[in-house]
Amino acid sequence: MFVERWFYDFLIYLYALSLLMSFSDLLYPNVRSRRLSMGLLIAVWIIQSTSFIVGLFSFWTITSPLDARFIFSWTLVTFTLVMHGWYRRIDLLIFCANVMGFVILVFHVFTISNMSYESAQMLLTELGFVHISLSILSYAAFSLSSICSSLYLLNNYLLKKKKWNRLLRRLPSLDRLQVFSRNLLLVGIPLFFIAMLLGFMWIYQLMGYLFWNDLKILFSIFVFLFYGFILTQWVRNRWHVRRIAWWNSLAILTIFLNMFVSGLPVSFHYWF
Amino acid sequence: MHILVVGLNHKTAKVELRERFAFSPSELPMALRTLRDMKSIMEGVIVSTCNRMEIYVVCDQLHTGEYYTKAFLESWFRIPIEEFQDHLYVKQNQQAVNHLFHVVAGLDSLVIGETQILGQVRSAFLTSQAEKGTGTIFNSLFKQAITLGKRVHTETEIGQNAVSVSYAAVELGKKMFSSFRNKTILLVGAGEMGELTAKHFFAAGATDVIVLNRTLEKAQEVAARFHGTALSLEQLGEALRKADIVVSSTGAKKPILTKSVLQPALRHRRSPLFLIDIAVPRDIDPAVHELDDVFLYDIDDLQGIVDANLSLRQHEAEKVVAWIEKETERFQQWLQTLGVVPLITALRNKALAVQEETMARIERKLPDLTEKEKRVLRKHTKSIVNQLLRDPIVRIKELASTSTRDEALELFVQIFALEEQLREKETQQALAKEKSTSVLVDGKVSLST
Repeated sequence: MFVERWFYDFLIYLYALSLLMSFSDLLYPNVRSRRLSMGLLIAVWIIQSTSFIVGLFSFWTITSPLDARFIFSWTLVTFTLVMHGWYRRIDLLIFCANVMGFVILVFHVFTISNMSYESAQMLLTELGFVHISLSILSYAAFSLSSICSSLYLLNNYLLKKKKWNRLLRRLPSLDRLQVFSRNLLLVGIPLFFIAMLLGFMWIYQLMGYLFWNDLKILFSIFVFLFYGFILTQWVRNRWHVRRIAWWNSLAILTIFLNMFVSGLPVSFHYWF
Repeated sequence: MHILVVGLNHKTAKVELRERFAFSPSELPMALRTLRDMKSIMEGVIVSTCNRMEIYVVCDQLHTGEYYTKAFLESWFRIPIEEFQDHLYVKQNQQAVNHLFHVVAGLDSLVIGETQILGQVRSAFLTSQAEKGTGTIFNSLFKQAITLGKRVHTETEIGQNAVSVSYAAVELGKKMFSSFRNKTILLVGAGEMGELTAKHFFAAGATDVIVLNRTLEKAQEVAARFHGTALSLEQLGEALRKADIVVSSTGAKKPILTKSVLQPALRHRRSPLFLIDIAVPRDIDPAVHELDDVFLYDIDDLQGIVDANLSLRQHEAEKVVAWIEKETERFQQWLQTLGVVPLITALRNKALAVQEETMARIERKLPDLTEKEKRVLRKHTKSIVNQLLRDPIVRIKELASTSTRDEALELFVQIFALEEQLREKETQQALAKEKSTSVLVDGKVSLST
């Protein structure tokens, strides 16, 4: 337990230092801070991935709050590293995504609750594993999509107000943010849909029709419909991009709400 | 040793004079060899750009060095010194070093923070190095300067933002479009400024250009330069539907692009529409800026961006000046310790000569020594020499950067009796320099070896 604690503390310090460097680079552009921040982020990713792989081949299952949020944070770091490799001038987007990843990591490290072995065994099925993995991936895609939309609104506001400042200079272009947020929705929605279907099948095997009593299931359907509605508007091409961006930015609240519901006693989704 | 820079730039001389002092790349090697062969000059680098001509030299005497550098300019360009004397600036030692650092950082340029000069100085240094025109001092100084220049451009924003109105429009466009490829530029009016702005977008990757003008012939003429399409002004609505960036610069007295003209073109549009109005009186009704996905910037807005960028550059320059001061100090410290090097070399040579003599005597007195025993003896006698010399060398290096430097060096020479070794070295250097002498023929210089 002590070693585990030390490990997570070390990870948080590294992640915090990376964010600090990234923030300093945003305020006072400096190639050294940028490189250091990226180096530290890669170190965080390597440590997270190692822990992930080691866990996968030993006793690890995605069945505790610790694991699920840990992987959510890892997914965000992975996404940002991939985006950084592909695109330039998206420092602010990477920073925002990492703030979220960091908050999730900190939150779950300080709220570790140990699940009983029996409970873990109950959830340890292939169906459960795929359901939870896909849910985490879709949540990460939704979160990043919402961040992109928020940055779109910020960029749009600064351009409309004709405020040529350092913040505007660091923002990605409007069309890039628009494409990112739409594509992330396009990835997230099918993943989430499959995750929900698998989840229904899995929990039906375990509990029968009783699973409808779980608020989390209703909320998940709500999240799906909300994001589905946004994507529909995008495809139908009737709303202005700015309006869609507002909806997509607010949609992140449904994810937070969904996470909150998981913690309620009425939910059996205590792993997330 | 002294460092000297003699030159003229956009601040001291008009272009009519500057163009007469331009070194072409093909004659630069010859010019460097000629400069190096001048009396008192030991190292030289010539920086020649459209905005400056500077000659950096290392000389043994300041006044002689300055005199011969000016004489070189006079003879090379065949211009009497009276004609350019007043436009020249001369900076010596620390000031010259400081000046070079300002130049490579872009602080002495016409547009503060420009990056081109760094490449030009680097190229000038490499040319001189290839011609063996540089030695210990300039090899170190120019390498330090180039490193500083690179640091300035990577760690500050001094050269990153647009300082012209037309380029500011491109920079602003990058906040709307990640790439200009496959974007359509609509040029309304065939004015010079509009065309220049379109040219910047074209250079940044825009591929399709539509030119609209009252007279179709003029539109066709401009469109041909961008391999674009020419349309008459009546086809504005149709052109707007295709456009991503509109640059307007007509001579119209009233706005030609209003909300009612624009709105049909915006139907089902998903990407931003960037309108640049550089006409006075304005061509585009300011009210269109209120429309979703439409961004209108007029000439004042763009000038505001340029001003903001210039003040940012100025702010960054203050940071760079502090770095330059530190770098100048660092170079001065290195330069001061450099004077010790010949003394240390002389001392080491003398000590090793003594060691070699001793070894020879031992070998004469003990002829039965095996090769292995000789090697062991040689190694240990060398070790004694090195151990004895270590502390004096460290101390003299420390003393060389203090105010009593000259006295300390003098005392060092006297204590270790190094006068003879130093004299020998000087004679060797003088002989090497005399090997190649220059002969002035009709103002130009030919070399004889």
